[in-house]
Amino acid sequence: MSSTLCCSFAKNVTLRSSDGQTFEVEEAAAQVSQTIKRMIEDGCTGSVIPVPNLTGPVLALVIEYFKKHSPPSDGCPTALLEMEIKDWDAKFVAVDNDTLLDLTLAAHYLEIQGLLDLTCHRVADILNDNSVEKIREIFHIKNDFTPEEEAEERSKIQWAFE
Amino acid sequence: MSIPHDLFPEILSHLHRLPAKSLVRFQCVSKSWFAKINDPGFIQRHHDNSSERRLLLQIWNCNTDHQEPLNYYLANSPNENGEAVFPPFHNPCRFSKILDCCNGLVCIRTYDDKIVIWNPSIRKYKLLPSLPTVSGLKRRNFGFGYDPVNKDYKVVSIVEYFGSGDVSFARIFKVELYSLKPNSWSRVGLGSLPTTLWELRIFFGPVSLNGDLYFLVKTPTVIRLLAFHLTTEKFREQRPMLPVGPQTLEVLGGSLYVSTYEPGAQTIVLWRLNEEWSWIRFRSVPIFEFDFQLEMPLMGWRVVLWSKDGQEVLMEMDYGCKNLFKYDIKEKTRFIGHIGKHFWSGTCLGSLLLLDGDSVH
Repeated sequence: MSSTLCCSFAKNVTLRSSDGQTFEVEEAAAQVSQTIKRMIEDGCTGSVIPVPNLTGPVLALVIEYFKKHSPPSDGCPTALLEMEIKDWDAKFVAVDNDTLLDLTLAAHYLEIQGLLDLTCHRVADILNDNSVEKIREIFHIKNDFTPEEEAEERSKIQWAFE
Repeated sequence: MSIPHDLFPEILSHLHRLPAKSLVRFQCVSKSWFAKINDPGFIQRHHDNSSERRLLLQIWNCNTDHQEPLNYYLANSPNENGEAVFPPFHNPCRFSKILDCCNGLVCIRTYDDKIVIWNPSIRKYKLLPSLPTVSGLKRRNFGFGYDPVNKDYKVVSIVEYFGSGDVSFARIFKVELYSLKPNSWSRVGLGSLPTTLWELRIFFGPVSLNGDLYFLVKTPTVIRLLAFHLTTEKFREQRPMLPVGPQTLEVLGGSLYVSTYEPGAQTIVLWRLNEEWSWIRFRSVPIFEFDFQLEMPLMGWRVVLWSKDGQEVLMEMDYGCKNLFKYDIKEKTRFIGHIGKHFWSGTCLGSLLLLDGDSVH
């Protein structure tokens, strides 16, 4: 009987972003994140759970992901539901590059493997479509080769740039 | 904002979806990317997950006026020209033999008798140490395969030479094995080879599958299947009764096949070796016994690949000149592709193998 009660009155937790915004979300949904799951198990649920590495807008996006990916209360997900989620996922990561990086970092920090796979796949696709210079720009990567070193490396693999 | 260092491996671990060529280019992004892409663990993971498969085509132009008759291409399908690639020690006017293709690596015996292992996807190669010379050399056969236990690529050289004195009538064999990791050749004993097979002649192969090299061998009386295990370095005879008149031996989609010809029906029949070690009639492909354009009879063939859904087969057909022949089982349509005098084709996995090797060029 108690388990039925638990499902009909879902327990909520409150998450607080680095800039002080708070969000209420079902406990079961938030547990999509392994990091939050551990905090809940360690008994942090009584108060607000701080998420200091994420800003409000990013945390809001992650919570959308939680809601879509929380385990269904009425048994196994159907094939139709799985397809719908896949479509939703594709749209979810069709965002600008900085947001994509924010989501990647959030997935990494909050240990959300599904989201990390999703964002990394998208990053890989973007990489494939861009030049070395553009990749450095998009992902804010510092080129630590000296001009001589880079010229030497490039000359060895000239064919790969054609 | 910049990507924190500890997230790099995470992102890069998903780069196995990327073609090998892109990853070669990405080495220039930064020093940490260079290190990651050259890391043996990354190279292995990329290799294991790679879904990039292309045809390697070696074409020797029939037209003798052609200045550079020998060309190599990596192509996504037989209908397209593909990307021109140049194997090590390439001489466009001299014929080098492709011995075999295993995963992404190709083993070549060059026109001047060098043996090289080449990764066409990243254009790197390794020149093997030269083999000791043999007096009375008659023939050398080479096999190339992967030893999954030692995670190493190996080349087998089977030397057939004329014996002296009392055994001069017999074929005498010497087997040498090259391993990529130690980069050296060693001698292999013939102890395990049944003496009844000592007069064998290698008739087709070797081809490599799951750590074994397989050969069709002819003894004075029968054709048999012989295996050489790349880990234990031992020969053994494979017992399953071969279909009558096996002509070729192939590895397709992780299984061993032999093909036979049925002249009455003008079909090539492909037989698959199943888990119970018996040959099962798999598919038959109607072909032309005679090519009216070339005015030549069919002299030989090789099955190059089956499409994943089993609906299409790609074959090399030799009517004096070799053609690529594609047959659609369901639609019963044929397509004839590239034409060349000497010709070789095989599938090549896009991989970074050899990128981190020593003395690799």
